[in-house]
Amino acid sequence: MRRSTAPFLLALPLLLVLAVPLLVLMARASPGSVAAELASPETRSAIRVSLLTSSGSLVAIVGLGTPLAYWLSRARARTALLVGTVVDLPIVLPPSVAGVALLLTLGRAGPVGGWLDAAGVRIAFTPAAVMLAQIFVAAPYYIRAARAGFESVSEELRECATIDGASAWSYGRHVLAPAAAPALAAGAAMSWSRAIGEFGATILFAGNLPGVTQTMPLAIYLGFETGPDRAIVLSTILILLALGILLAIRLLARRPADTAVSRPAMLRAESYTA
Amino acid sequence: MRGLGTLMLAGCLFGGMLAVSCVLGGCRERAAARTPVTVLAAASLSGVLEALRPSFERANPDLSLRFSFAGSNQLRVQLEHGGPGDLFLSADARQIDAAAAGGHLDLSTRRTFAYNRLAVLTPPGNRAGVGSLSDLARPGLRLLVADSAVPLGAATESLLARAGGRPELGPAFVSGVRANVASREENAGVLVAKLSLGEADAGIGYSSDASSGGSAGVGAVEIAPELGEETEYVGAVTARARHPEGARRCLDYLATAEGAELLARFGFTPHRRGVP
Repeated sequence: MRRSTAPFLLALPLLLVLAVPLLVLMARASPGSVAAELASPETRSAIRVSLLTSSGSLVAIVGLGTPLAYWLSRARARTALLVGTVVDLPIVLPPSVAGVALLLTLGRAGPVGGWLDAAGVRIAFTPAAVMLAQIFVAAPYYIRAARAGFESVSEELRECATIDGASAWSYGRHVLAPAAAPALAAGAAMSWSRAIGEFGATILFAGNLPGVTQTMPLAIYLGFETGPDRAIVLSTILILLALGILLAIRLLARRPADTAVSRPAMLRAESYTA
Repeated sequence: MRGLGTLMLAGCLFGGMLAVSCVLGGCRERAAARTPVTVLAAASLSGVLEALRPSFERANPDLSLRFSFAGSNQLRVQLEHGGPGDLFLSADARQIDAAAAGGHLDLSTRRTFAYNRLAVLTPPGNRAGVGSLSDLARPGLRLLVADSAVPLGAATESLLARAGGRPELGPAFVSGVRANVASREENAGVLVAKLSLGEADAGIGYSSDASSGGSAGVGAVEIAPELGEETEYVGAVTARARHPEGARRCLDYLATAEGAELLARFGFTPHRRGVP
């Protein structure tokens, strides 16, 4: 059809730039070598650490980030600008800088770390350190998306709900959450993707202990020491894993056909994050 | 209700991920009958140390080794910020000295345990026909070197400095080489990987990387001993080690006959006994 050809042709170049390298990478990994690598205990360990830490990080990010995003959506303009910018910073920082920042704060000699150390709490070289690194670099993505989602729900809606006798909790559960859900889900997907791909801050702050802190990206880095083929196979496994989970999240977040919220508001929310 | 349904599905997704993780790794921790010694080691040692672990653990049934591999400079930064670790095995004496200066190492245990030689590495097929060090200054050659922040890069710099002082090579050679540098790599593994994928005509790397099985076809051209840079692998027990005795035994093991044989097999030169 003529009308859809032009946009598609314009979309094609970047689509190819993103998709072709991934396809070439996966093509180089034979199914046999992928199966063999999946059977190895080191790889399974790395997959397990990656899944566990990224899930844990996501729970923390969504649990703690949602209130923060909601507060940001309702804060005064200047406060929101300042706090929002600070929250965005980890996105701009190179991961190794994030790692140094975490080490300085939570290392033994740091302000928080020293206190924790005195209390007998060990963070370094534990999965907790991996999660902290992931949360630090990935949370901003969720907070941005969630905030946009909340902002897209009009103020009138809240007023109507309150006038009709809804409590804050009721409003949150029956009106706000369903309206913002697609944005929250998209933000969670982006956040999770960033968390599972995290390398620079992790290796510096959490160390590279197999079975404990060695995530898939760290295993891929070590794979290079053995040879590019091992790194390619591990990369393929990570891509397939991420593909599966991202698809699942997107399917979960499909826009519901029937909600009380206006369609324009929903479209606005989706446009910020999708 | 739609919202609740989505929440439940999300919960199932998480549950699924956790279940898969448990299946993959086992939820229960193996009872630690052995004392775990945490070794912070340079990534280039990953092959030889993994190979060394079984024989070490057989000879020391009360100990088990846990390795954390990273760049030597990254490991030093970790130590400086109170990172845990019993033994530090560095590809570079600089990192050991820096960590020791900060009081993070037990200097009485400092010991050189191996050497690695630099070599000119060639990609599979060696289409550019690189056969000697002087070929690296050939105009138009694509050359890979390591960044000077990492041990390999520092060794490359001193190799070039030495080459500049030699009559047969001289400053013209050095400037020719520098003009050919296509990229500075952050670690030796990536350098070899790029080379084995044919991304360059030559590279300056560790001679041990040519003999490792994974980098099929990467050849090495020896650099004359008087020019050849030897990188020194130095180890020391950390100052805050939880298991200093185990760390000491691991370091000593590298100097035994078994350790030396494994080091040689992976392309390193074991430290000569009797030399401090």
